[in-house]
Amino acid sequence: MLTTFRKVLVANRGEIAVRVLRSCAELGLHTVAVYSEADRNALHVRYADEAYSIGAPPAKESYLSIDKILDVARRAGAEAIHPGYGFLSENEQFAQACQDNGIVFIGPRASSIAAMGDKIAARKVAKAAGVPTVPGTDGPLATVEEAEAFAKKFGYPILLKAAAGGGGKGMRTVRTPDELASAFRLAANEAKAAFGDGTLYLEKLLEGVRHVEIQILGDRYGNVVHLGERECSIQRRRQKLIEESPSTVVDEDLRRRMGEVAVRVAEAVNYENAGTVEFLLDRDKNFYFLEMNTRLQVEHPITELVTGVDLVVEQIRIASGRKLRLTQRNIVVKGAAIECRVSAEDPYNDFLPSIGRITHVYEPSGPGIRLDTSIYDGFEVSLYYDPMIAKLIVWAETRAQAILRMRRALEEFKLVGIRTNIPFHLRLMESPTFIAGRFDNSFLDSFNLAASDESGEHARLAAVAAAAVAYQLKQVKSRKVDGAQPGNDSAWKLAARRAALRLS
Amino acid sequence: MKYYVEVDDRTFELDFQEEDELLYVHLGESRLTLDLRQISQPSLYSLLVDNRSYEIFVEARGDEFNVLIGGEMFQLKVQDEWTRRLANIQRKSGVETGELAVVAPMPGAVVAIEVSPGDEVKRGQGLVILSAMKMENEIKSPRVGRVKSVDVSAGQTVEQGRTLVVLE
Repeated sequence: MLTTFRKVLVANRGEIAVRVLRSCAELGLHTVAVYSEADRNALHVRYADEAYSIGAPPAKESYLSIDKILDVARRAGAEAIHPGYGFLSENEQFAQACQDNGIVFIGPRASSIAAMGDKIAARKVAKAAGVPTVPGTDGPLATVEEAEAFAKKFGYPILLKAAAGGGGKGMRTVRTPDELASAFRLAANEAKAAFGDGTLYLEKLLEGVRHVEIQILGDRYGNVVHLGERECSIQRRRQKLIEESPSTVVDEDLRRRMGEVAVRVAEAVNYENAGTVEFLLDRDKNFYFLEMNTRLQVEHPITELVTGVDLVVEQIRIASGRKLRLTQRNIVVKGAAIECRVSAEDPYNDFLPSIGRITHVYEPSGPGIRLDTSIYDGFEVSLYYDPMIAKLIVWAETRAQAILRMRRALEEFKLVGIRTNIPFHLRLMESPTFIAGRFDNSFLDSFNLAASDESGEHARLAAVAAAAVAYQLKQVKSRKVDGAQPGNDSAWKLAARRAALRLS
Repeated sequence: MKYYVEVDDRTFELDFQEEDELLYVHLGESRLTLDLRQISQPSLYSLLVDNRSYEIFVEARGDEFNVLIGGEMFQLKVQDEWTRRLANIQRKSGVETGELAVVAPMPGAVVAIEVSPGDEVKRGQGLVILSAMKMENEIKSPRVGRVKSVDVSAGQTVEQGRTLVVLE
């Protein structure tokens, strides 16, 4: 049964809205964007065929408003909605409301979202399917006291998690009993703010493990395939920062076994469309089900680069009722891909958000580079949304080449006007631990921006640069006082240009 | 013109000269030819040092400079010979007060206030919880002290640099 559609509404913003619009455009679909008052100038508004305002900047009043988005879909005559990630992408009421209004939701069934969206219920599903899970509570925690009792039972450290969680929000590590009460409150508040539900559960914190996830695709005829793994252990405060595929510790056999388990989890909830099954992998190659994300992941491009599959195109095909054209046998992982999440966070000020105008963007390009972003010259980084502003993704034939390529691309990537975590990524790409691939998900807890081998030379250059800028500023100022031509060209700069002309 | 640049624990002495319409700097034993161009306002520069090419970020605020080069950030203090002399005189007469304003390190919304005026606080103790970009951040006390005043209230939106709490 094909449910062909010609007009798709993208219920999201930022880089993911742009990324989805691109695949829609390539499929010849008409596109509809929605935007908050803060996003009138955004690329997704400009790239879509139609764009509709849906309210004030806070997400609750715009990107999280089911009524407003469905109203736009009706007015624009959109026959399908792609939710992207975040916002309404894992909201079963939204998926159900789309269906009730005769609109195709480009994602899983509402029942699958519900089954996996409640992380407590998801653990039960996995257990029932015979998949090992991390030790933890089987139900929600009503009070801090209850959390204390469970923490005592499993032993510290423990991890408090939001039942409605995702993307690392509403999650706190607790190492000692006296940290529990404050962590409980902060996690519950954060979960309530991010998901509208402050319910928490807890798991024993497994240490020395990696976060490895499997991408799956399923159609409505019960065919499910996996597209290999993504290594996501490089995390800061439970937020993924760097992802790569393949993982340095996953061999062909482990990939097959993890893939089969992921497929089994998907089948247990009658899964349709793209999804990701997250696992913790220990040193002995035992893996434990963590959760299933019933949406496109932020880090999906690395899978696209190593498999050659456009996941958004597959999502749209599946949603229109087509059978999967991929079989497990013809999915081959080739080469190596790495993604760096570039955010407006200042690595030199405890990663606090850096708000303001990006006056200029110099994008990396050339062989093997993919940049998924929504920024442009003059882009305002606002407080309302996630600080991630770009995903820099590279592909190369080997992991070593991919690391070198990423370094080159990070050096080319210049964002002027705000601070970003690009220097942090650059330093990570030089870290022997990262290069050797010998890390677990605690790697960044102990990684800091200590001096590099070239620190002495860099300090000297920095001194020259700073003094030269100070000198130049002073020259300009004194020439202004003299009544000379104002401008940012100092005499010696002009002279250098003249000299260059003479030479040529 | 002479400049003194303090970075980490080192002080560099640089002497700039313009000669035959080119800029030179003497640094220690070396004489370097410089060509500095601002590429983009406010902070991106291209610097050629004896034909070696560097792309760097330079942020200047008074005599405090931040320079980002090769993935490393340096905080520098830059003074020309006259400013340095003046600063030396001023430092001798300077007085340090016991008050310390704890300011918002970023713009955000005040979620909760964890102290009241008169409270004794330890270094690292939470003062205020600020929420920005969906993440909650606890603003901690930079030192031991007593809360003199709380200058914000829960629910309030604050700009970067806004005083949250004053310690004494």
